[in-house]
Amino acid sequence: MVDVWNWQLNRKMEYKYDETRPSKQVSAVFDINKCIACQTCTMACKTTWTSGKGEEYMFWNSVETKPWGSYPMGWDVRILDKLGSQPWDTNTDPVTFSGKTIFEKVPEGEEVEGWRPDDMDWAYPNRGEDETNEIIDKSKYHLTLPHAIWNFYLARICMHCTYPACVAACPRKAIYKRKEDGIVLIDQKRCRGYRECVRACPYKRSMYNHVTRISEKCIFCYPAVEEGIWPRCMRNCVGKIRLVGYVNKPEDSDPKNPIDFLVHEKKVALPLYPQLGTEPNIYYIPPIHSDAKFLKQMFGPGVDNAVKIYKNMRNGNEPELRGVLLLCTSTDKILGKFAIRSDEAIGYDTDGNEVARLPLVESQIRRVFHDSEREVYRHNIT
Amino acid sequence: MIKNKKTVIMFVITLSIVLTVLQYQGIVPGTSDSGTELRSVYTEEDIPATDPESSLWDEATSITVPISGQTSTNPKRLLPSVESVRIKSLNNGTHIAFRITWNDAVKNSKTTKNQEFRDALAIQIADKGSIPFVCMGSAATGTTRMHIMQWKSDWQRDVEEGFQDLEDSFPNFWVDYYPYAVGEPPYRVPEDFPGNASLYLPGYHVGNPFSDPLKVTSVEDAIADGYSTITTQAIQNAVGRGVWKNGTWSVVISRALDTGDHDDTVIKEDNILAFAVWDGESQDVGARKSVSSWVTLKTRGKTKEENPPYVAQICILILYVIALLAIIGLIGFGLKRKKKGKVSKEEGEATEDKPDLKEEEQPKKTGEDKKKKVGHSQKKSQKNKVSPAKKRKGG
Repeated sequence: MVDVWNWQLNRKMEYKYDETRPSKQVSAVFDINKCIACQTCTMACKTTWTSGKGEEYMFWNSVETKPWGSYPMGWDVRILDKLGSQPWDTNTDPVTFSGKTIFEKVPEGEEVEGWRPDDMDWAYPNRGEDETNEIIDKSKYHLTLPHAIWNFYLARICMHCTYPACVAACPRKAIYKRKEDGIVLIDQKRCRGYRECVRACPYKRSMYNHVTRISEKCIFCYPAVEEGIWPRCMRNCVGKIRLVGYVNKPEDSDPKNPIDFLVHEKKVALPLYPQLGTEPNIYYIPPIHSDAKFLKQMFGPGVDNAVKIYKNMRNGNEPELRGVLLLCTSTDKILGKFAIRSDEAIGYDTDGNEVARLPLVESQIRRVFHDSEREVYRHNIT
Repeated sequence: MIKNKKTVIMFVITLSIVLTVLQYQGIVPGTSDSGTELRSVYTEEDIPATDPESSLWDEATSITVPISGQTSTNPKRLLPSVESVRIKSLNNGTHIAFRITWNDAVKNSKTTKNQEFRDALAIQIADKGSIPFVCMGSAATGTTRMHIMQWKSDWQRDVEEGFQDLEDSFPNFWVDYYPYAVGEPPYRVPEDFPGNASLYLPGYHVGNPFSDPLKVTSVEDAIADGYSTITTQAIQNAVGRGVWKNGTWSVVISRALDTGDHDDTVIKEDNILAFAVWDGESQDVGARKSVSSWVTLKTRGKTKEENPPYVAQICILILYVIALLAIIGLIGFGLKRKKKGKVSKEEGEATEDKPDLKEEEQPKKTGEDKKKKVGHSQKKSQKNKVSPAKKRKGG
């Protein structure tokens, strides 16, 4: 074990290998407030990558309803339960994680704390769909803010972590993190089906193929990424909740890089379960009307700030933030930079070519209810 | 009284020397013992390369090798799944077989489901010399590469019963369609997945041996150069088979002594062997295994290669008998002198031991020299005999 720097924990932590960050790190921001759990991302991935025999149960991308949904069964509560209560030290700025990660609280003889789901755990990919945190009864006023009765949808893919648990756990060194973009891949020739990665990954994004008897995982659609194009799940997102780019370390944050802007500048996009210690590279804008205590367990101590800033944006106070989030809807090219010019947001690819331009506020035309010229009535008046 | 005592001592000494000589020559099989030396017994018959139940195994000496947990690297197996394995070996001069027997209450021979792990057994072979690190050797220490042969219960099941496909584990499973697959649901692997359809079976498509549905052997022939390096060899020379009965696995792994494959260790006198056992029921896999320490392989006088011809064998036997008589004479002489009791204790021991040792060494040396010479000429002639066998294997 060596000491490596995990900026999400604001401290050094133990890991199997040295800190060797890739030259670029692919990343994405998911705005949970916009997700409608249509599962279009799930099917885009499924039909592209896991339609083979032996992959029936696999969803490299899945969307679960929180708080009860999980795929595989109890993936998050089971690892949290194994680690036990782990505190953050809020007296520092930024806040420091003072608990133990999955690499630090490890049983004797193991590389990483983990557990391996069996077939039944994988058998209910959308268990808990649309269930609310509590039973709705008359005593609850679910129009209060934050909502007393709530749920939200959590879309998940492989986190392409900076310190992947799967890489640390694989005794074969069959899993590697690409130097050029940080994508984590399982070498299908080297894998011997030990399932150590399945056991170790706290997000449970390594999956065992019943027929080829080796493990597979999300590949962040690297053939597309190499062409500067978004992965399938991101391109096909109906709710337009996703934004794809590259994330830097906080000290190298580029305020004009849309991911850095959301993660480091505005701190509105947060890692999922940062306390596990893998430094995941998919970031989430937390839902603004759900229970803050629950959200803090899931996204760390930055939740209150993120919710506050997002609400501010909805009140019209964050034009830059609004502009960046609008870019989610407008291109399938991986963004390198963005710019806000008067009332327009502009997106540039990693070579600096303009790939998206859109108004911060869509122009509205109000039409009269009765069109006397055509002698028709219009119910749709905007 | 003294005369009787003398006779008993001489009888015991004579018997033990004769037995040792006969065992050494392979004329009398050794008895079962636990130890660090495995004697491969020579047989004129075809060795039972895939039959752990052959009566030929009765001729081989059994040793019991203690097994411990794998505690060198993570993930570890802190306590072993079995206390020991019992090992026998037979060879016929060109091929060698090892039979390993161990207790395992539950047979695990499938790896289709997430929670299924195989029972398995591996033999690791290295040349003598600097004893390599027992866990797959180490490139860093400059020691030899490890030759590893791993028998896998699920591979054997694929070979004997046909590929264990999805529907064999999930009988109620149904599917309408797989991209480019031909035939009818549930679409059998691999015959219904030709051409582009195989792209959707990634491990199979890239040629991973673990994903190969058409396995021809239950034993993987591999090399390793330290942790994380085990690699399936391009040429597979090992065969084997296991039988599980009444809570016991009995597994044979066999191979040509010299396969001609540069990735294989040539099996010969003083090779060192280590054994590993995986218990599928305990979810053993990869580094989660139980292991033995090194065992030395003794083939001298047992393999055809080094076995002197019949006449030479008799000559050696006569030499041993002469040496034996000389020793008996000397012991008798020594006892007589002792009886006279005039020599001081220290002097007496010194004068008695010296001629004993000299005489003991002398015939042994002669025997070994002779054997070496014979063995050498035999080796030369053996080479011609081995080559057709090699060709057969290669083809």
